[in-house]
Amino acid sequence: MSGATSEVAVFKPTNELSRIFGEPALVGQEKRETYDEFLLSIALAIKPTDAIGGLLTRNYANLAWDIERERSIMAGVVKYYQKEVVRELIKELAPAGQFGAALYRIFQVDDNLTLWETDPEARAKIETALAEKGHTASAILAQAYMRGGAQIDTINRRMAGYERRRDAILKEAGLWNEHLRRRMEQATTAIIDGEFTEATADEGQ
Amino acid sequence: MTSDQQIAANQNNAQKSTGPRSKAGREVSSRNSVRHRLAIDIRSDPAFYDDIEKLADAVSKGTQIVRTRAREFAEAEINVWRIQDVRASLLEKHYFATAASPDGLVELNENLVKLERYERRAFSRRNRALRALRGV
Repeated sequence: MSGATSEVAVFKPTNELSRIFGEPALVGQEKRETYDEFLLSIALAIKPTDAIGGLLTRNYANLAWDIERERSIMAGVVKYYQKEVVRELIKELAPAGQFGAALYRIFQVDDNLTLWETDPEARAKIETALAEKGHTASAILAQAYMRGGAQIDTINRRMAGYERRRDAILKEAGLWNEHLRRRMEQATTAIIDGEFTEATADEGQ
Repeated sequence: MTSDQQIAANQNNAQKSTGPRSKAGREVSSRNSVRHRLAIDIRSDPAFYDDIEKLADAVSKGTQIVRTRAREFAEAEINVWRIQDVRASLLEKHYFATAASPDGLVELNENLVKLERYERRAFSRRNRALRALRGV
């Protein structure tokens, strides 16, 4: 059994082991550099001392990555349904008169929807106009959540599953090496949350 | 967490199962493993043989871990990675590479729910293999 070992000998995967790990399973706009930096910061915080510790650390980081990915998918789902709700409600902003309203519906609804999506200033104006018709931003968001309820629930269940697995890794790590478990627990708040806050801020720039 | 007694009971019950009985049912179940290869035991897939051996080397090197246990752990660990790869490819195919749509989301979620069954089993197996390593 290779349980508790010295804190000095931090485990580093050999080239051979890195090759076995292969490419990380990234999707969409996820960047390899961001993933590598994230994994490295977790590894530096946890300081695994043997191969098992290194593998558990990698699994732990991957689950944290998966949870954050699901959060981003959920935000995308809510945004999709929010847009669907706005697409319908925006028709109510048609000017008075049958001819004007028809022209608005044919030529301007899609343009206004694009503006709502892309131009913060235009979005504020459209949202004010919708609020005057009784459709506040929070009411629109609530409708979006109701429409996407089934999908959002499924994503929430997946995230709960990843969190349970992350907790299980903590437990297994504690049985393997108590020092490893303590470091992992600290990494949960100090590193993982911080990294994603930074990553989100970087993407927003 | 599944107890050893529950695991033994599950294995015992599984021995009694004969799978689907109808011809159509058997045809469907025979295609399961082809669809995503996850139903194929990783030990019988030659594509993973070298990686399992090398990971087992890395795990047991400089320790008193018995080689057989190290190999079992390596198999279980690589199986977890294999499922993560499948999950990523499903997300890419049904969500990131296509325009978002309710149908696409439903299809993605249905596929991921199916995958979840394999994933839970793979994690449990990996944790059992890890505990077996500690018992050495």
